[in-house]
Amino acid sequence: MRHDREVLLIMIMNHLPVLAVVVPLSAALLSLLLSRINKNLGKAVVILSLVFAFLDAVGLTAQVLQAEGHLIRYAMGNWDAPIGIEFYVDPINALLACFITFIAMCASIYSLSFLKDREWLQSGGYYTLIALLTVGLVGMTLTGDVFNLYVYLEISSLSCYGLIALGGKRSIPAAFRYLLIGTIGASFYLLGIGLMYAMTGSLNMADMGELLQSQMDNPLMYLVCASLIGAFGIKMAQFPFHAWQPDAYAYSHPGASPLISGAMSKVPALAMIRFFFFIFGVQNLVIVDATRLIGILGALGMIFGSVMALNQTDFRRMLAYSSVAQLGYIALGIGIGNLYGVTGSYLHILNHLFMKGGLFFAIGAIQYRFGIVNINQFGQLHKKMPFTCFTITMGALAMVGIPPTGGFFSKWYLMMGAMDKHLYIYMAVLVLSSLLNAIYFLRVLEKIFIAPEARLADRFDKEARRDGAAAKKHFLEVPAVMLVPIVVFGIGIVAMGIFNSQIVEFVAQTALKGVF
Amino acid sequence: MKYKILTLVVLIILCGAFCAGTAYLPEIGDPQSVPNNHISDYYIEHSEEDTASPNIVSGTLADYRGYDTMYETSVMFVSGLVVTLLLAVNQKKDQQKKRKYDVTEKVMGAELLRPVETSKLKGIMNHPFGGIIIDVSARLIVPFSMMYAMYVLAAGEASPGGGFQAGAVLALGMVLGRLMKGEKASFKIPGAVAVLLAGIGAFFYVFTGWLSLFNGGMFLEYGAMPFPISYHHLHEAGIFMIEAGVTLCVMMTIVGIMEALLKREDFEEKD
Repeated sequence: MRHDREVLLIMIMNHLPVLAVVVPLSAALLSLLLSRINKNLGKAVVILSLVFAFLDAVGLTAQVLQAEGHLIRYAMGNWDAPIGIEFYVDPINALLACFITFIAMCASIYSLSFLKDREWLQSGGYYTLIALLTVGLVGMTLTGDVFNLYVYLEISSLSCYGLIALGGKRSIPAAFRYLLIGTIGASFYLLGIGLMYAMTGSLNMADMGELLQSQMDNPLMYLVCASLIGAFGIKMAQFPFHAWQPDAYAYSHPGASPLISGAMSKVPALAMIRFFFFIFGVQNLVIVDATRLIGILGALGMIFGSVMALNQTDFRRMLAYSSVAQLGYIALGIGIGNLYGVTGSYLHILNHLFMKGGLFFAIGAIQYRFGIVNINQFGQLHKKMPFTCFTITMGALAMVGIPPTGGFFSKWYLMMGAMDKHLYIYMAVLVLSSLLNAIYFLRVLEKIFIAPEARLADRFDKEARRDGAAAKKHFLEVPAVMLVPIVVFGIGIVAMGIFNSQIVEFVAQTALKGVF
Repeated sequence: MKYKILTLVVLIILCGAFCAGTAYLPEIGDPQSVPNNHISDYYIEHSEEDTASPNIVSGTLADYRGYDTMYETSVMFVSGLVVTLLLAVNQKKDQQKKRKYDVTEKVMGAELLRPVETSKLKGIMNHPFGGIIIDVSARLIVPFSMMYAMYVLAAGEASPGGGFQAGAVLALGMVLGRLMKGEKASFKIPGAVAVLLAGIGAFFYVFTGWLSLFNGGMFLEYGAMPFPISYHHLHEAGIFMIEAGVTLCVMMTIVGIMEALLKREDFEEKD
């Protein structure tokens, strides 16, 4: 027995990269069957699989940090790299996989209260989509094959369209618009890798990177860069390609919106970093031009997103426009294109995942209890929902970039990068955008803490009236399954700030040192 | 108007750029071109002994790059699932009432629900449209097409064909019966169950990967599956297993989408 357990453990340790995606995939595919048998079984299996995926990703990060050369390559079907498909795990994508599976795990637990009284098909289908979205995102982060990345992009996008469309009556046009634009993005990606295949004859990232070095003066490289900027720009909702994003984020299913807004846009951003810095190499002239373009678009997006966010009264739309601005920070870091800039970019990917995830968890809870999303109705909300308001406050402080929250440090690295390259205009944009962030987030905090109390229809009061004396007593502001993710993310935002030096030192720098 | 002109300009530039780019692409069929000289040689020379499939395309699709195909299958499943969730799930009654929509709802500038004259829809799909000629000829077509589908599946690893095509042809038989006989079709699967079965089909593919994983191999390494047969046969068996999973998934996805569309029409008629 003991021997068996050891064998199993060794097996798991050897296959960590693939298990992180295959376990949730298996759970997703079986979720409908299990839900048909028992409604709760399907949910439970998906949640457990996501918990396993999270632990697996943590183990993988630990493993890759100790591995020789900080690199793990896993060949699918035992076909070695250029012949078959491989997973190429380095510290930066292993850590992002950790974060994605963590937010997916929290979102799947959080969604329980939204799906209590649904039929088996709906609840099973919803959990299938959550798990498949996670599979797609984790796969996109870990894969070392450009076409495999396309397949993962497809699976994550399709499940994301589904989750957005399930959000209610205004969500269908939003999902449909995202479907059209997202498909164009995916086509651009396919064009890009088609051109790269024509130049190299390989689909493996590492192999392709080596072969492309002699072809950097080929005019096709300009088309490749344009295609990739278009593709990842659309997928991460970078400034001129963001039109689908505010509606999609605002009207998606409230249980899934933390995952969609937190993780969905970050993975293409990391893919962009991987393509431009790890595969192409920043020393080439065409790549310098391309990253400069990304940086300029990012800077424009930072101003544009912040100004548009000022104009919103729907909290979710405000967050969505603020995401356009925050993705601009990430693009700015890519545009700065030195060690500090990309470190800041990477750190901001992780930070923003926590900030936006936490804020969407919070607004989902407010919507669940009071049915409101309008900022003007938030008066004195901190009395009714103290923990949720704690998370909103932390998220707001991190967005503005106030220490010790994580947001400060990513902006700090971006500043240092811009300083190093004497890009003073970027520094001005960073400061300006932070000030605009401060305006619109402090407006929300003002409503919550200072504005007079708003009269709201409380879900719990309604339940109490309906059930009379038999009504459940509520000790918590929202059900515990919702409250735990909210509080965890509120603390996580601060923890990101405290542990940022470890992340930079052990993860970002070790992986990025080889590039610059 | 301003935006439309801008869009046109961007489109023309993009088209021009990509057309101009084709000049730098290698010529089609040129044996000296770069893509034909890197790993293609390996596939051509080793495919048969590596994958036990005389067909290089099948060998690449199902064995060398079988991991991609697994996700393509899952993509099929997701599309079926999303269509079923959006169209076939009977929404709450108040939403049903709203669906009389003589009023066109304007959401974000787009006309969301156009008023539909339900009388025009009647009898298009839900009611059987088989007459005696269609009835008799379909009875001839369906069994043979099903048999052909099984042939395409079984020959999948050796010749062009495989799970995707076999699934589509199999589904054709069911769709044909359902369209002709309507509710009276003797072999029909409810939409939700069809999607469930599609999930099981895709899982069968993943399960093939699990088999080799548990036997000490890498994921989807057919040569490491726990069957006491030779390497050659193991690969054949592995490819057949995944093709069978793909067949079930594709067939049931198509049936599920059709059922969802038919059910959607049911709602509209009842309003």
